[in-house]
Amino acid sequence: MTRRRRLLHGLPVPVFAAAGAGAWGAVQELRGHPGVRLVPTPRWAAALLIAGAVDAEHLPALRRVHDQTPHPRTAVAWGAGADAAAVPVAARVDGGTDEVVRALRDAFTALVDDPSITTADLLPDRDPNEWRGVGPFGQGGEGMMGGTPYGRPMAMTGDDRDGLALDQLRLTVGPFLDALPAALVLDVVLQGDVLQSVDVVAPSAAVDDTSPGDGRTGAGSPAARRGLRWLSHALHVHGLDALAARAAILAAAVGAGADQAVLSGGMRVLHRRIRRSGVLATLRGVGHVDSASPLGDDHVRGDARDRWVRRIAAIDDTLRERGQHRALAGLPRAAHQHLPPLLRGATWNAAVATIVSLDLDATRWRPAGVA
Amino acid sequence: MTDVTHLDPLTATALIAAVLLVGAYLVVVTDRALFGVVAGAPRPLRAVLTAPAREAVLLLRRQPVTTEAPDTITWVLAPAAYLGLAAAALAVVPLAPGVAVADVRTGIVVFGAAEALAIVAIFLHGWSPNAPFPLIAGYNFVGVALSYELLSMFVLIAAALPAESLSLGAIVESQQGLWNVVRQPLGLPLFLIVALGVTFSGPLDIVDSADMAGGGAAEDSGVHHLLWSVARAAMLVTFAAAAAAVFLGGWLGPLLPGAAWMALKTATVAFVLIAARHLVARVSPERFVRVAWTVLLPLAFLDLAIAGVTSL
Repeated sequence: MTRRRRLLHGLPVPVFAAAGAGAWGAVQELRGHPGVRLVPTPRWAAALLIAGAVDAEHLPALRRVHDQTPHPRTAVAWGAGADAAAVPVAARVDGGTDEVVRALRDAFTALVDDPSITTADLLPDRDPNEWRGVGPFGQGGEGMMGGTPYGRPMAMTGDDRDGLALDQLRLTVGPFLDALPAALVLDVVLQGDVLQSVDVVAPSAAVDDTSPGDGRTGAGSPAARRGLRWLSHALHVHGLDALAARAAILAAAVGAGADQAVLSGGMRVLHRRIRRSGVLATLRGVGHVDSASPLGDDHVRGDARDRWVRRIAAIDDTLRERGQHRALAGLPRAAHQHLPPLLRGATWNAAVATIVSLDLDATRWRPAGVA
Repeated sequence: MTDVTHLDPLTATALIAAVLLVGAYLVVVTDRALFGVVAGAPRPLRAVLTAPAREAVLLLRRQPVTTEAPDTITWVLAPAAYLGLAAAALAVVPLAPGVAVADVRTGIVVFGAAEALAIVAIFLHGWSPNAPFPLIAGYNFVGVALSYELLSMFVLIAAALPAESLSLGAIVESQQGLWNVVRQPLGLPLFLIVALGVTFSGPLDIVDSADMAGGGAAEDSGVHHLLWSVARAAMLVTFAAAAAAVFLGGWLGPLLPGAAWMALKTATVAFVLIAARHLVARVSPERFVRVAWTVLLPLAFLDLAIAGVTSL
């Protein structure tokens, strides 16, 4: 074994996580683990983590994500429902965070020692549409606008919100976009970075595994743990990865049943750092939901900043085992139909901040005692 | 004015390369160390010190993936151009008394030109992969860049006024009695905002941001990704050195040799810039543009006015 290979063994493994139902929350806790580094794009990853049950409709997307990961690559499946049939995996893990990190590290070490074990492409390298040789110049279309030049429909112009005619970029985002909840698929039309139209193609999956034995001891769990996992992802999306790691470590401590004083002390520090980071100020006026809106539940109304403040206060309260934690419940599946009007006309940046602040969750986890 | 030692081209190239590479290495070390501290789980010292080398080896061993119909030439050239501009801008910064690669009389103009061309390199990097998120990140950045570019011009000209010269060496000399950070208190904070913009880090990381799956670098893998990361870290070193020279008196200081003072001040500014990455949230591009034009730009005017009045 060369020295160079040994050098790589101790490196945090760059992992892209493709989360399915019931595993998105658990994946967020990996942000606090020193053995792995969650990356926002498969291009930066050496290992693909398939967490939870991926719906059959999302399997083609999963195969694409697999093929987008550069060689040499490896994959690990996590959770009982993780579908290993879609993608060849080096290991299947049915345990907690430590077990999955160990499996990822083992798979990575094996890959470093022998890069030839990399997994082969699952999809053929083909154009999305036949275009070669079509049209007078073989460019795939006729005239200026016809056909599918280079295999993709042309971006056509359309009126934007300011009355200008700009190119429209049609995109399907999800189901494994790092900034969005698991399994959420949106069809969007962008002009510049402004969303002119939004359609929900597939709703987000359940955030957490609700099966028993999920570390349900300790202060305020599982509501606090769920809230901290959400917070970890939200901080990551807003560029605060170190604070995201802090939130994830706290979530894991809740799961491990740490002492209440330790937890609320940790939360106090995190809360202070969040206030000082200015993230709350950047959320002011973003994704405003008024009380007349069908989404206008007590814990949803207001702007993204209001939702963050309520959630952070609720996490704090829950860790101290006092009072309400209704604000920590996710939004139900039915809420998805109200997303398009909320996101239309927003910039991409504001739309992501809005979706993150809403915490969509297909299972709608309900804390005990709340109807 | 101190006589400037003009280095021969070979020594000059070696010096710039050494400062940028060692500097970039230390930037990544500091970044990883601060990440651990802010996360509340400090990493072992050995792991932190070797992290940049190990991450680089890993990236070199990985496949550089290409996309469908990319603009390959600009994709390769963008990191090279960005790194080259970091080197060109550093060339006009005096690193010790009389030691600069090219302390030209128009130093500030050269520095400003490198800054402006960096916008082109960053945009091209987003444009090249022919993929949605990098493209959106690229033009988002161009939309924001003009707002901070103007700040840079005003604060640098303000610093040049007391020196009565556009040369960075002369600006350092002019701070013998009082550093510009005291004489022009608005200058350094505004220049740090420019530095965050050009290196797109912390609150101004609107290019390679997490909400766009890595933005401009979303399609970069292997050696592409490595080069881009090195270029970013090198640009941060250049800006830290320029801030040290223009506002913190460069090589001036008691006891220690000039080069040591310069290194110390550069490291301090770099530390502040890196800390901002972990402690300050990303602002929305729209909002930054609004604040830049309505608040920061008037502050830059004020800075220039203060500098003008005090140099009368």
